[in-house]
Amino acid sequence: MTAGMWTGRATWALALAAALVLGACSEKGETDIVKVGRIAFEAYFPDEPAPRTELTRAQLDQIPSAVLALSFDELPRVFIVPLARNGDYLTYMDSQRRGFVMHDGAVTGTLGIGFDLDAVKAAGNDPVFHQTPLADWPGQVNRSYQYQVRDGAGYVISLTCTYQKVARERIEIIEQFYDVVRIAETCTNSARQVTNLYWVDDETGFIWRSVQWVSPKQPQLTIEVVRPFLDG
Amino acid sequence: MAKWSRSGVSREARVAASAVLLALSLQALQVASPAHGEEPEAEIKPRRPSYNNYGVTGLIEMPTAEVQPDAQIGFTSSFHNGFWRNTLTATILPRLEVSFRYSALQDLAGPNFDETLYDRSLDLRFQLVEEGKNWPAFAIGLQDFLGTGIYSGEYLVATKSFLDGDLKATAGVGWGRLANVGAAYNPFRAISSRFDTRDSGDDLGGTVNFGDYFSGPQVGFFGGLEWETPIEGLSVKAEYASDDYDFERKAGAIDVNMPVNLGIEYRPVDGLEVGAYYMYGSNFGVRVTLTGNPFDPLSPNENEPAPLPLMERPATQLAAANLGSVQNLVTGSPASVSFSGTGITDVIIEDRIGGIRWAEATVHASADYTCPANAATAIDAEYGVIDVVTFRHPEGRTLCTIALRPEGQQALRLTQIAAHQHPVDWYQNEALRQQIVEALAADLDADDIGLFGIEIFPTKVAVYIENERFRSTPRAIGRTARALSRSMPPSIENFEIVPVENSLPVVSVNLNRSELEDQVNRPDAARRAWLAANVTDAKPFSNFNDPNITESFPRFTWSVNPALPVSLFDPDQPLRADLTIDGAAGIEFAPGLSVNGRISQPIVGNLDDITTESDSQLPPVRSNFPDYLREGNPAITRLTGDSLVKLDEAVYGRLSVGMLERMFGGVSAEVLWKPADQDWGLGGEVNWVKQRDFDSLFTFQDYDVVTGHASIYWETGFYGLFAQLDGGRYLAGDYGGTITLKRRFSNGWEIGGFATFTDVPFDEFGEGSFDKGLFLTIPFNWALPYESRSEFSTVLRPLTRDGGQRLDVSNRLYPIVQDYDTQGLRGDWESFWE
Repeated sequence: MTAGMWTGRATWALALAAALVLGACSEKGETDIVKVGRIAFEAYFPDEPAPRTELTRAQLDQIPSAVLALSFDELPRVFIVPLARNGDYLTYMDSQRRGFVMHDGAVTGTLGIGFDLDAVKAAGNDPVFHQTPLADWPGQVNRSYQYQVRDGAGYVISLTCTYQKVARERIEIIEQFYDVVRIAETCTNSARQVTNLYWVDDETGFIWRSVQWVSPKQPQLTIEVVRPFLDG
Repeated sequence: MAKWSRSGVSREARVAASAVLLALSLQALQVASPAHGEEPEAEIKPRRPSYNNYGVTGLIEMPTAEVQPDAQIGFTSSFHNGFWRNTLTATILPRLEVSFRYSALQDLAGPNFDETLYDRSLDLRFQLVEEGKNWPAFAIGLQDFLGTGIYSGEYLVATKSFLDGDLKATAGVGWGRLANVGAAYNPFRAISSRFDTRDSGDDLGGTVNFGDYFSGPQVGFFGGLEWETPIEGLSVKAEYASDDYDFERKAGAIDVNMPVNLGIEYRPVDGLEVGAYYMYGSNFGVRVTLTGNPFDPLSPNENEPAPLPLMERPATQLAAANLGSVQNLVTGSPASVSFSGTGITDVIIEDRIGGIRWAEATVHASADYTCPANAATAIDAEYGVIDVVTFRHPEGRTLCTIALRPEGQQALRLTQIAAHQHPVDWYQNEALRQQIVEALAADLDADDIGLFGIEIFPTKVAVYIENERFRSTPRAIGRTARALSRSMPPSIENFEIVPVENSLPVVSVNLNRSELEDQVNRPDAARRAWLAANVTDAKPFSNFNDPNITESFPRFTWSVNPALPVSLFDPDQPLRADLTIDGAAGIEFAPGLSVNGRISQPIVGNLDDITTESDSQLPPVRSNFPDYLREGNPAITRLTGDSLVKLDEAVYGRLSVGMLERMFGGVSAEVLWKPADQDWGLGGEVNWVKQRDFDSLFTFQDYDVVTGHASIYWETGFYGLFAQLDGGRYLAGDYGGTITLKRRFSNGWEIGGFATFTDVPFDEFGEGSFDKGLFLTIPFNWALPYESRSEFSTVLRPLTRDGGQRLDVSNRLYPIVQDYDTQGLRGDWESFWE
């Protein structure tokens, strides 16, 4: 290599160094190298979370639809409304396009929270999936939770669930009180055991509050019905 | 979308700049991904076997009969006694491992054995028998089985595990290099005298020496133990090695005091192994292995927003009156109540369309107006195989309708459609139609899906989409279907979705809206959606001004990216690299009609240090690549006018004119026939090209040639294997054929190899005898926590000679359409609803 070539390259290096420092770019906006850098930066230096204020029942009553309260991992609850109904499935989703799907009292899908639950196959007499007076709850049901490996084939976790009445309780959901029965549901297979909790109106079988397992890789979700979805 | 696979500069071996991105991605991943819990299958997943210093599954130097999981890919670098081995090993099919090794062996070359010998070798091993409860695993292996390799040897080996897999014992018998210790008479000599001696092969290497396998006067025996300690990831190994390094000892490069090696290994995470060894009683060695598997994404999670819901159309009053609320109880579960306990007073069963058994059940007069859903299974049990039950109150009011079987669900849906009778008067309102299109475009844009074109009819819509984000085409199709459900009027029952790639409408996926409404959120929804989808060839656009095209032309694209072209395996310096800035720009004047350019400027590096002079007896079509690297500063690596066109429903065409690649310019024309429902296709390409000057600007040298190939492409359907056979004339004017085999994974990984044989004799071709190489493609999606269509792609050639070289033209047709046929879509359809 000649000295002249090195000089030429140094000039180019100076001229283009900025492009390297700033990363690659295109007419479509940020490219992978920039996006990875941004995600890493945001992970190291997350934005300060906005202060969250608890809504009152009066404020929530302003919302002209069903409302659920969702919380997990000791985080404050968020309120979420149904965006779509498909048959008996209700899709609840927030503005960040994260949410979950419910069939009566059961969470049958999670959306955009990672390692999402795709669907649940449940028996016709599953009282969590089909509202049933407490007296008619079966002793045992089988359930299959369906997932998909990212860009790969799906997998299924099949569980057998039994119920146990724990106690009669009076619970409060945003200034509203309900007399319910707390049910502990134990679901097992050869590799795992999970426990779900339901607070159930014993006459109608309506589940006002629940703590549900949805995935081996996500915390249990706590769901409270602030205002139930009414058909039509 | 920028593809990285063709941006490299070196012909010797190209690694696109994406390697940098990949490395950064992996680091970022550690940061970006939240901590996750157990894998669902972790409880039953066996521990992956370890690699050895040769980069194959084994002990320390010796192999075992274990095999890595299907599709596992590992890179191993090991060093001892001045011997540095770098090995890429892939389990290309279940139980079949292939390894490519590049070794730098000190003091083994030159007249006084004081120079470094650089050696390339290829291994093949197959597990004949999997380990059972009462028998060990058996494997057979060919080590360095091509040409003159100094590691040439064969083996049969058995491995049995004990103590729940914590202790593994291995014993084997070796030939060739592995026959020097514990030697015994080679039993194959009793069969034929052919096995008496072992040839060292020809001088050129690269050819298969069938006659040498399992030959030689004697065999050797080896064995060893591996114990996985109670400390997580820590294991110890001991082996008795049948390789006594005869050649290296005689060259004075190693002392072998005893045929025993001892080692300790640690695996902090599944993809990383490190080991330290005491070798042959004389020295120490180290090994590091990086490994991954296409089936186990490095980033199993993503932070993409979820798809917006699919909006179900509201039932019309007529449908509601006839059916009431509709429920699906297609669970197959037994009745939870007896028929006598349901209070049903009357049941009338009718056979309806498609042989459906439909029950009309009347509840007791005292019943309220709630839906007695549980009674449906009781009626099914009482009357036998009922597909649908409609409950009515004696007063005449319909309470609800329950589907009990998939056939009933479908019949119910058809009944609903018949009852819907959605109005179609909106179709006459052009302004409203325009609003609908704008709403759809905005919805698609939220997912980075471009609306290329649209045709609207009163009951059907066809949309042409450009997917700029999702690696999985079915995922883009699913998102489009959801968007259509939100924006299209209720009367539109059929969605035709046509992915457009490089402005070519490739395939047409026809979906029924009612069925989608029935499938979403339900179990097995993806499988059901696939069974209901109809995939056909997309019709070509009528012309450049097809009224259905909504995309605006001309459109401009550009990108600036860093790149890292490398040169491997040069004996003077086995690894060279440049850091370059690659700029690309293009103007598409009309669909498929464009001008494209790419320029590459080295910033720092040593690729221009390559001094190898071409000694080729053929026209130097590739072997003079160092001249291009030295003088192309900057280099215009592409400047072409291009036309891509769909000539018929299954016929595609390409015409490219200009600087087609870094070394050649001219004219290139191609035709491809590939129906969507067919797993094979035929193609033809003819080029007239002239060799460019070394500065890679606008001038040419004297050499020109007419080159071209006829090609057959075949997606075998067997473990994703893809085969391609090309026959024709190559750049140096030689005639012959290329066979390519790749394993393609639905998530975008590709691994494979190719070999080209032409009428150039092996001795005229030079070292290596014929052109051959390996492919590896890793989609960024596998490693990044978000969706990306970019990929890391490389071709590893042991040598670059002039025989059997093809033109490196952009936009070859088959790769554009490859993933859009029925088989390709089906393989990735699981992500339809994601």
